[in-house]
Formats: sequence, structure tokens, C-alpha cells
Amino acid sequence: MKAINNHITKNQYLFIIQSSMIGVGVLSLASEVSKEAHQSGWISVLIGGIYPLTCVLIGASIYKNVSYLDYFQMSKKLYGNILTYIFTLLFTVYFLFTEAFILSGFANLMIFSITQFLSPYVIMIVSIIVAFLTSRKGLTNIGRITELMFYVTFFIFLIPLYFINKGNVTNLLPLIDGIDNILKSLKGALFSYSGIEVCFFIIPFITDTKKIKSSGVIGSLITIALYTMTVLIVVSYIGWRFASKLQYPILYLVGSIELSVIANFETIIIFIWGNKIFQTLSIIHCVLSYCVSNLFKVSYKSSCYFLCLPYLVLASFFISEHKRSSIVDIIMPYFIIYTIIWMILTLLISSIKKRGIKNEGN
Amino acid sequence: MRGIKIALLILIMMGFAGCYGRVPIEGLAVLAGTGNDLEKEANNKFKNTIEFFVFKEEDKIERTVITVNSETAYTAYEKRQIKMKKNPLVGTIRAYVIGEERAKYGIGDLLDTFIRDQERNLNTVMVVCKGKAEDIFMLNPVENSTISEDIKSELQSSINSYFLTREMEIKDVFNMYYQEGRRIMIPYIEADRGKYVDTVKISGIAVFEKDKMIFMIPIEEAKYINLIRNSNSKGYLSLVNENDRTKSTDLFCTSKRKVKVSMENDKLIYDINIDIKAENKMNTAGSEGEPSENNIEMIAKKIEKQTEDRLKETIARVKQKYGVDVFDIEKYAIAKLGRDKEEFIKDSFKNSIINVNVNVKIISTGRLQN
Amino acid sequence: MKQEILKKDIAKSIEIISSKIAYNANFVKREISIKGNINCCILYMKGISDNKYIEEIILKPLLLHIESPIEKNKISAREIARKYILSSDIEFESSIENLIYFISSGKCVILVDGATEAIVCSAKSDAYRSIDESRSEKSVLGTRESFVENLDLNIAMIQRKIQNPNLKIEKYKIGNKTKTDVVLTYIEGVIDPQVLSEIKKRINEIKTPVMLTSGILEQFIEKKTFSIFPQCKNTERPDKVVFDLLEGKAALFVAETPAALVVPAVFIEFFQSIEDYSERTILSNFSRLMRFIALVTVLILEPIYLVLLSYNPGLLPYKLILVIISSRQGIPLPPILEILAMDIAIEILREGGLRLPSPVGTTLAIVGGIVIGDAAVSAHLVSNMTLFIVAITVVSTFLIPSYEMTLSIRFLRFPLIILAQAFGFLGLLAGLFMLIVIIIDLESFGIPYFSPMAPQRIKDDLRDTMVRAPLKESLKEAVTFKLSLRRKK
Repeated sequence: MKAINNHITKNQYLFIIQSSMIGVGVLSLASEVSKEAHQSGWISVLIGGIYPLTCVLIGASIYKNVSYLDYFQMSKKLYGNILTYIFTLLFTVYFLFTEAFILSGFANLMIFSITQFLSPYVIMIVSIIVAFLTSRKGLTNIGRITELMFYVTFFIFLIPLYFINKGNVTNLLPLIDGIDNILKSLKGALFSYSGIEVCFFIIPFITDTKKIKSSGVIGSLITIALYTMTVLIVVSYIGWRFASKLQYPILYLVGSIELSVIANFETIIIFIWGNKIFQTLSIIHCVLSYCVSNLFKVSYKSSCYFLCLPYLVLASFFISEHKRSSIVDIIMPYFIIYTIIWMILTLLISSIKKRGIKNEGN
Repeated sequence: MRGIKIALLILIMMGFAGCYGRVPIEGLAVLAGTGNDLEKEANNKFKNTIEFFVFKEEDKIERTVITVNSETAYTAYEKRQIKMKKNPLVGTIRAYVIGEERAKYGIGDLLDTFIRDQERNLNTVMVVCKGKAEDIFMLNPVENSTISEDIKSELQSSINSYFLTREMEIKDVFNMYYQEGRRIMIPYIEADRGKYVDTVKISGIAVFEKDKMIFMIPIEEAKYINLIRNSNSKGYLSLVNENDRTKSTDLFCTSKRKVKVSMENDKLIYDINIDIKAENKMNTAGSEGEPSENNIEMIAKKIEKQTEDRLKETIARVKQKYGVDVFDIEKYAIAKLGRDKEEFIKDSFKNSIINVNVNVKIISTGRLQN
Repeated sequence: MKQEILKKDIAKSIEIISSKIAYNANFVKREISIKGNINCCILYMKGISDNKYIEEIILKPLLLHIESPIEKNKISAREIARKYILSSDIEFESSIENLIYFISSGKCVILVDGATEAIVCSAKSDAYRSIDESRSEKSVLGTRESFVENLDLNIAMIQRKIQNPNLKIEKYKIGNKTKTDVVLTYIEGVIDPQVLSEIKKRINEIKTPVMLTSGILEQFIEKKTFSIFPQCKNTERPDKVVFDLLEGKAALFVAETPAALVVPAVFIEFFQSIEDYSERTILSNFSRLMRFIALVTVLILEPIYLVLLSYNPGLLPYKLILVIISSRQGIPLPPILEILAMDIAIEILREGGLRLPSPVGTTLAIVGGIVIGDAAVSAHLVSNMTLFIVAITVVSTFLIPSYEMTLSIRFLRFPLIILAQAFGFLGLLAGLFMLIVIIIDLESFGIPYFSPMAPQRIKDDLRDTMVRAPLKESLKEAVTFKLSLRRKK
């Protein structure tokens, strides 16, 4: 059998980072942050962007310290076998949940918008088949797809731009109501950036190790810019109070443009965004399978195959959007705190070890 | 092996195909408009009217109206369905017409319905009508095949007169409803019983407090309110010579407003600046023999003066007669002072100082020099 | 088995050879005796070899122009050939098996009594179709010539265009039973060595009794047999082949086939036509853009129409709904059957048109489509809106320049229609995504099929894909087909 090819270029890394975050978040983000931060929600989205930036920067530094060993070698070297097992298991559970959240969110949205007649399970099964077929051949294919599709999804940027002079600045004023509001809504903003953690697993597969940091930063900046811009435009057009009441403010926004061939932009946005969701699902599925195949010593392909079931089951618990978002609110903080702790700890240990090696060399 | 797998997949998909009980497009009733009324006599029950297309054969389109009584917005749907022969397609609704009594009773449930239902179009119009909405739908359409289309196209073409706003679609209504410091103001229509044809006309503007209509401003009065309220709106301003009406001046104007808010001794001060760009459409008032530049400036000055006076008059009358902000300026105060001051701003509207300043610039005089 | 070689006794040799080519009506044995009373025998196949040529070039000098008698014991085939045979292309052969092969491939064999070698002259008949304009790949501004059934002539057409000593021409014999000549051409130094060795490896691995056309060869050297997309490019036009050789590809010719097989091929090539390079930059970009619009139209117009009609009529704008409903009054078929029925009818017409003589064929496809469509509409079986959509789709397929790709794309719309019927917009979305995944997963001789778009080389090769930069830019050396160069970058 042909070996799984996992190598990616740094350009592909950029686009993988960029699309690993665009989940269901982008559609409901404006409503999420408006609830607490009111008209200054975009500021908290911007501040929340520190999280992905730190992740990619620290990730790059960690792997630089261990001279680009792959994740398991790196972790075994720093933590030993048992701790590696525990940490990876936690990451696995985390990715399992993330993927289930995205999948159920996608199903919820499709039922809400353009395929009301389908059962959510059918939607989830179709999406899982797509994600499975995409990720089965390894990271290289995913890298190529994200890089190609980026230009297609670029239209997500362009459609909100249509509204840029239709909004009203008074809806965004006064800029800041209170700092504590912004900090409260930071939680919601952070969730929309989850998925960035895949960078801890894919950095060692990059063939060209020169500009990993800048690629990662650019990738995250694109997403941060997209998020901030959509929140800004949504709030300036419909106001924070209405935005916080809507489930998918962006869909409402694009639904208000009348076109002559298809009734409105909503379908087009869902089309483009659905592509993005398939990519995100495949990326996380790929990393998840990579973790599982190494944890339980099974082949990548079979873990890719057998993982479809558990998260289909998991995702089926989150059908209906309010249920999903309430569970997200409960579970996500723990994972994000865990990621931050792991990230800082690993950075410290890896740099200490590196210094140790240097000193020994002297 | 692989071929078998693919064939199996396709077979399974074929199994899925078309098992959802969805009716193809020709099996749907295309709604054109709905009307909502209140039956005061019948214990405040609602009355729901729909207008929809009937397709008999190719290229032959007719319309029908069905009316039902109901307790809530959707019980009407249920009741109607046992009368109708097809399922309704709500995405095509052109106009929501609300009876005056219904509007005064409150339209919160309707707004909720219109927002919540994903299939509904955001580009339809919503109007309040004099009397019963049902009666409006009983009229015969003149230019289109349905009354609802008539209403929508009428509103769309009205933006060149009386400085009426472009924001008349239901998405704008939602914005007015939810954004702070704003209120719903939508066109008010009535049946126009003409000599030859009966049709609908815009006769004013309905003003809401939250979701309840509080009063109606007649169109003549609304003209100057519109001028203050709407930016980028269009209409005619005239200098009328009462003695000899052939010696008047008409200008086609495009307005642009800017609002500044300041606080002085706990008093809100709104400075409204209205820039008007005008095209001279008719001018027989100017004295002959004078150089054209002077003449034009004179007209501009005159119009400026007259408009400013009328606007001041209007502001004073609004403060006294209505006592609520119909100029859509409170939102600027909120943007300036913060969300928490919303109550204060609303309460102090009557006591606030509203300054208005008009600038008229004539940009074209047509074929003639002045 | 030991190879049989020529006997000194000519009679024996003739007997062996003719026993091996028994029951062959056009096998000719012409026995002559030349000055010095030496027996010779000329063997050839009537029809494949040129009679006149043999008479003029071989018989005439041997019979009439030998001045001094040849001594019997000093006889040598080489000597005779050197002095008396006018033919330019001469070989000497002693193995009987090879001689039989030569005879059956159209050469003329001269046996000389007492010599252990036979003279083999090429006397292949030139009775071929003359060079003609290409039928399937017409162009307005390009050259008018297209490949013919003569292998040598085909290669000559290439050589005339590339006067470069690095142009290599390698010959292979493929097919246990047919022993077909297959020629591999490439430009050394331009083609990537890794790609070249992959191509050679695949050619050497072919095990087949028959090799008749380049289409068969294609299926033997491609990797994914079940893929819908063509992984090699068949072309009739020499100028196209030259262009491809210069880009770093190789071309394969199969004897007696009027086409070349260009390997490796990438997806985007099938949407480029050779004319694009001779037209004005902006105009050629416009026509390329039209091709991609056509591609998208073929793939998604019918599924979208289907979904809108049967699942999401609310997504249609108001006025269109009225038009569609009004046109569908009294149509008994559901949208899916309507579309499929029209599509299959059109496919049948097209397939039928292919077999008919060419002027009738095209007429049938077009007129038949219109007549049948019109009949279906007036019989109230199909709405005129559906007919319009199907017609647009069919016309769009004609914009794709490559015949092979047209077949693939035409086929692809059926799974998409079925998916759309099964899952609505989700099916279409998933179908298109999978399509891209499948294309990206493909490789043609080590070259990713979707390059240079994925993996991307923005700076290097994107200048000649969906659009083309001015020639100064787009004719620069391409990186897509060079693995080694790519690594460096």
C-alpha cells in the first residue's frame, strides 16, 4: 500500500492554519460577542486573536528547540512515555469534541438554512464521508486543498465588504462601554479560535523550516481579520441588540441583499462556508487520526476509518443549536486552559533541555 | 472492488433520492402579500388575509384572496391550510399590510414571525393601512397582477418625492425596532377611490413606540419631518407666489443631513445640518434683466430661509404635539453619551434644543440660464 | 530455442521462409539469376511493399546493370548491396525469424545463393492517407497539418519543428502478437529525468498481446484505471506536441495511429488550446475564461436548477418563480426525471451523430436535439425552461477543447444530478468538494494532476493557467513538469 504522505510546504501550512479555525464560529460570532460586549464586540474578537497568535508562535519555538522531531518523539523526549500518553489523550479528547461541535453545528445550520428537509444524521453522515475521504490520504492532500480553496473562500471576505458603506457608524459608538464587558465576551471570542491547536501536531511535517513563524502568524492574522471585520460590519449594519438576538447574524446580513438569479447571497455564503467546514473537519480528523494511530499503535488509515463512528455519536448529542452552544460554554474553557498550560510548560522544558544540550556541548 | 464500492454508494444515494415528501415548485402556492387585522368586536381576535397567485394554464396568472380569523399569527396558517389546495411559499411575499387597529394593538408577534422564519424574504415592504387590510386586498390591482406588487412598486417609486426614505424594506424595520434611540416609522397607505380606478396611495407615515403604533403623520406635514429625518432623500421645494401662481419656483432637491450632539447644563443640544443640492426645474419668479448669478443665489437664499423657517416650525410643533423623537436623532445622542443614558435621552427630548441649519446649493438650471 | 539462420543453399532458405509464411496470398517470391549465373530471390509482401519501387531500385540494377560477372565462391551480400542496390536504407540480416518479421512489416528481402546474409531494403509502400487537417481539434490560426498513420512521417513532422540535436527518439516494440512500434520522443535536458525514467519504466512494464492505438497505450501506462479523468493527452496536432515537448513532457507515438500521446498531463492543459498562444493576449484570456464558465455551467447548472425546483423554491427570486411555475403547468414528470430524460436523449443523439457520416452527424446532433426538445415541450412532457437549461449545458460542453476531457466532464454531471436529488444543496456541495479532492489526489507520472494550482506555484507557473500572461511571461520555462527544480524552490 502506498505510504501516507504528510509533508506540506510552508505555504500550505499557512492555509491549514487559516482554515483550521473557521468553523461554525464565524457565523454566530457576532451574536456571541454582542451579548456581553455590546457594540465593542469586535475589540474582544481582536484581543482574542492573541490566543491563536501565541499558539503558532510557541508551537514554532517548541519545535525549533527540539530541532523538528515529530510530535511523539518530541513529547517522549520532554515528558517520558506516561505523561505523553496522558497529554496526547487529552488532546485527542479535545479534538474529538471540537470536531463533534463543528459537525453538529454544521448540521444545525444546514437544517436551519437550505436543507430543511434532511435529517441531521444524514447531513452528518455525508459530511463525515467527505471528511474521511479527504483526510484518508494524509496531510499533503489537505494542504493542497486548503491552498486551492483559500482563493475560493476569499469571497467570504468580499461579500461583507458590500455592506461596508451601508452600515451606520453610530451603531458602533461609543467605542468602549466598559472594559469588563469586553473581557467577559472574550470567552466567546476564544472559542471561535479553537482548532488552532492542530499547529502543535503539523509543524514538524513542514518541509521548509525557515519561515514557520511568519507563515503561522499570517495564517492566523487572516482569520483574525476576517472575524473582526465580520463582527464590525454586522454590528454597524444591524446594531448589537439585534445581532445578539440572531442565531447567525451574518446569514441575516447577507440574506438582505436581493439578487436577480438566486434570491440572496445566503446560499452562496453557505456554499463557500460549507467548503470551509469540510476542510476544517478534514484537518481535525487528520490530526485526530494521527494522534489515535500513534496512541493505540494502529495504522493511520484504519484509525481514520474507525474514528468516524465515535464522533458521529458524540455529535448527535449536540443537535439543536442552543444545546450545542450551552455545552460548548461548559466544556471549552477547560480545554483552552489545558492548552495554554501545556503550551507554556512545553516551551519552558524544551528550552531548558536545549540549553542543557548546548552546555554539554561546551 | 473499487467499482463495486462506488456502485454501492451510488445505489444507496439513489435510495435516498426524493424521499422527503417535498413538493416541487409547481405544487406550491406563491404568496404575494398578507394582511393583518384586529377584530375589536370579536374579543380582539386577529384576522389574517393572504393574497396568492393562481396558475391555471401556461401564461395565465390570476390571483385569489383568502381571509381567516385566528388567535395567534400561526393558528391562521393552520386554519387557512384546510381551505387552500396547495402549500404556501412564504419567501415570495411582496408586502405585509397591517390594519391600523392591529398596528395600534401591537405588532410584536408579527415582527417575531417575520424574523424567525428563515424562509421569509427580507426585502419585502411593511405598511400600515387605513381601515382594514382586508379591504385593501379587495381592490383590483392596476399595474401589476397583485395588489401587493402594486404596493411594493409604489413605495419603491416614491423615493423621489416628499423626501421619503429608501429604508422601507422589512430589514430596515427590524433595524429601527432593535437599534437604540430609534423607532419604527413606516409608510401609511389608504385606498384611493378614484373616479375611474380604485388604487392605493401613500397618505402619511405611521409612527410606532416599541411595537405599537401611536399616531400617524399626514404626508404634507411629513414632508419636512422627512427632510430632517432622512439623509440622501429627494423631493421638491417650491417658492409659491400666492398672487400669481404662474410666477413660482420649483427645485428638485437631494438632501444630506449631519447631526452633532452636545450637552450643556443637562440639556441636550442637537445641531442638525442639512445640505441640499438642488436642480432648478421651474423658475418664473426671478425678475428679468438681472444677472443670472445673482438670480440663482437669490433663489437659493430664499429657499434656504423658507425651508429653515418651516423646519423650525415643524420641530416646535413636533415637540409640542407628539413629544417623541420622529427625527431619528436620539441614536446620535446615545452614540455620544453611552448606552446607559438611553432613558434619560428619551425623557429629555421635549426639553432638548434642536438647531437646524439649511444650506442650499443649486447645481443645475437646465437648458435655461436661470 | 535456437535461432535459425540462413543456409548457404538458397533453395533451402526459401523453403524454410515460405513454410513459415504459408497461406499468405500476397507473399511474393521472385527468383532471378544475375550475371555469373548466381541465383537470387527477392521476397516481399504485395501491398505493404511498393512493387514499382522494387522493380526500379532492386530488380533493374541487378538484372541489367551488373557489368562484370560475380565469382561464385567470392560471393557476399554486402558486396552486391554496395555495388548494385540503389536503395538508401539497407540492412543485413541472417536470422530467419527476423527476416520473416521484416517481410511482414513491408520490407523487401534479397537472398543471394551462397551468402549467409540477406539484404533487407526498405520498400514500404507510401500508400497512406495524405496529411490532412485535424478533424477533432480544429483551429483557425494554427497549422493545418495533423498526424497520419505513418509513424516515420509523424516523427518527421515533429523533427521539422524542433531542430534541436537534443530531441531524442527511442523505439520500443510492444505487443507479443502485433510487435507494434512505439516511439518515445522527448528533449533531453528539458524533460525531468525522474519523470522520464518513470515513463520508460511504465513502457517496459507493459505486457499485452496487442497494441493497436494510442488510446490502448494510454490505458496501459496510466496508474489509475478507474479514474474519470484522462491522465495522458491524446492529440492529433503536431504543433501541440511540439509545445508540450518544449514544456518538458514526452510524446509517445504508436505505429499506424494518427495521434500522439503526451505524458504527463495535468488538468488545466485540457482547457488550453494551442490557438490561445497565437491570439491577442486579452482575447485569448477571454476565451479561456469562457471555457471555465462553461465547465462550471456543465457541472452545476442542471443540479442547481433541480435543487431549486424540487427542494428550495424559496431561494429563487420572485419573478423567476412565476416564470418557472407558469412554464411547468401540466407537466407530469417530476424535475429529476425531466432533466435526466432530456440529458439521456441528448447523449443518445450525440452518440448517434458520431457514427454517421460527418456532415449528417453534426446536423443530426443539433437538429435532432431541437426537434426532439420541441416535440417534448409541445407534448407537455418537458417544460421549456428545462429544455433551455439542458440546451445551455450541452452547448457548454462544446467549449472544452479536449475531446477526452469533454467526455469526462459530460459524464460527471450525472453523479452530481443524482447527489443533488438525494441531498439537495448539501449533495451538490459535497459532490463538488469530493470532485476537487479526487482531482487533487490524482498524479500523472509523479506530477500532481492539479498543479500548478495545488500545490501552488504562484510565482512560477500560475501565469499560464486559467488565464495567460503575455507571451513574454507565459513562455518562460515551466516548473510544473520538473520535479527536481520544484524541490529546489
